[in-house]
Amino acid sequence: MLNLLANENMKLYRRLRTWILVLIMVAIVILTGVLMKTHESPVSANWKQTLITQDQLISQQLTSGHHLAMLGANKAYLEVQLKTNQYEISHNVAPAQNTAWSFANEIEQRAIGALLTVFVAIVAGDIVAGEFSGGTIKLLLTRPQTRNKILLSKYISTLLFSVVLMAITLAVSLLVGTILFGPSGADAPYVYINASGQVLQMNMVAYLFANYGFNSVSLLMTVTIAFMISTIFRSSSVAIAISILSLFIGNTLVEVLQSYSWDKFILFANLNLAQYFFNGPLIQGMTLSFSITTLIVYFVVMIGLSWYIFKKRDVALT
Amino acid sequence: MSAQELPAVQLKNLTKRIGQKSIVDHLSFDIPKGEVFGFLGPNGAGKTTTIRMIVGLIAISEGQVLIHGLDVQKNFVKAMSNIGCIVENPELYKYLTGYQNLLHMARMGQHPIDPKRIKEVVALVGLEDRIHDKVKTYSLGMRQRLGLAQALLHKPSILILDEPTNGLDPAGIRELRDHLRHLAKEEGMTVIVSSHLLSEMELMCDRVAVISHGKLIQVEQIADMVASENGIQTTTLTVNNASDAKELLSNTLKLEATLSSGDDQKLSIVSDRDQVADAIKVLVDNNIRVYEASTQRKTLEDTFLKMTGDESIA
Repeated sequence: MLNLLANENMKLYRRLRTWILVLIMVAIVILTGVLMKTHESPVSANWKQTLITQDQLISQQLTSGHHLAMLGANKAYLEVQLKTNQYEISHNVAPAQNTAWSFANEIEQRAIGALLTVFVAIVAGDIVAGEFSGGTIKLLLTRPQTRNKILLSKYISTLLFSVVLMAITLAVSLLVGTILFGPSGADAPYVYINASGQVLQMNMVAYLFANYGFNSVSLLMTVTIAFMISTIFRSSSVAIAISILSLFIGNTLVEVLQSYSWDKFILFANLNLAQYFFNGPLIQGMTLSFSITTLIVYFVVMIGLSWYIFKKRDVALT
Repeated sequence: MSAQELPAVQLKNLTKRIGQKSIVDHLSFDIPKGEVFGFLGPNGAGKTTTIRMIVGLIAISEGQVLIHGLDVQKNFVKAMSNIGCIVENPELYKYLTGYQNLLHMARMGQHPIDPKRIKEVVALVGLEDRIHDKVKTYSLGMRQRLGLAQALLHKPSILILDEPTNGLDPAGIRELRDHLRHLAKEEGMTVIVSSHLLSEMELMCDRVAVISHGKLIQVEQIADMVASENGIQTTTLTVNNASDAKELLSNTLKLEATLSSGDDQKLSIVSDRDQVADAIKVLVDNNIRVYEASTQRKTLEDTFLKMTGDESIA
């Protein structure tokens, strides 16, 4: 089994394509950093005074119970603003000033999420189908190894690649962030409203790792979807295209079908587990345990289907 | 019975059905050890399907394949440990070097492969100079040789090659043929090849199984297939006067020759070898000049067409 894994890793990392994906990732992190640095809004001299005034205003509103003005603002949002301001004043950090940690968070949430998904789908979509389209599947299946082990080694090496890509992204974004914005900001609070409307806070480091954790769950499902498609379609380009397409269509589908009660059973509505901790669920009535159960069911079905098809497949019967 | 006495490969009622159609229909025969054994048949006869069932690429609908007595379906891993194969083309990872491809192959086995062994097979196929280059820079012939090195890496007792001469030039074909004969004779390897090239099979194989429409027609020694029946052969004689010669042979030897139409110097006789010698002596003694005597050997193609009912080969 370790030998098979070594083979899969050799095929993955001895290939230029893999390193191009990694390189694009690193380049985008650096580029985003440079752009953010050059477009940083200048810090006004009396920012502290502005925040203090703002705080007084918010406190007044909160105590008076008149939540007027401020479009859509409610009590929770005002509290978030208040707590953030208070930290910034006490720690002498100007608002909207980037730190290594806030930059890493920014990268994770805005720039990289979709890209990671696409890159992982490319590798997973190709890993089985590529052997079929290249004919090398015959090499693998005519050796004294069970099909179970061969497929498992491929699945594990894809998961390992996802972890490696994620780790590289995290490391590079922290490095670039530190170089461009300085190493501070690790103890800055991330103030947020949880699903039940309470205002809570956690530090930036915890928040960053929590985000990567939630992202791993959706990445695991992405890998599994693309892997299944890869075993079904024997052409790697078709498998990659369908994997990526389904990921994008999936999210749109959830939005379009929001009025239907079965919308919440769609895999893509459950991919983002962060929704239960920050901001509340996408669709009313969904719970964390519902999503976890749904994800497990999808996972088992997709893995089962991949294995069933791979084990049963006749290789090139014409 | 010990494994030593078993045939290398046994097919027992081997059948592949797709829907109602049987592509391979109850094939049963044994492939003896240490021989070069050929699968012969027209396109679509089921040669490739049979080979793919032997190596586990295609599921068996009915029947059994035994490798040294081990059932491929029940004991796949052990059975496949004995086999090296190239199915259709040598399959290689083009973005890896030749050496990395062999390393990949080495890791696919049940037992660790000594790096020395890798060196050995590289030398065997003569790729020492280019083994650390990427396979995408290799010529077709080099890829074929690397494919062979892959198949031989684990020192298999059975080597299976499906259409091995596809895409090879005459020199490459000859090289491969010599190689296979050497492996069978000197190293006692059982070599199974399939091909539609009759002339190649004739030179390469000890024995062939003729397959048509998924059914076994016959398993026969090549020597028997090309030998004439009862030593009777057709001999064409070129002389200075064919009609005189015909008369002479008829009168002296009671041999009825046929004149060839359109050529008054040629006649042919159907006889055994001794009679050919007698005929030539009589002709020479009677001052008829004999320019040429040629015996038409029965070719594998003749036998093959007879067996498969004049089905053309392609």
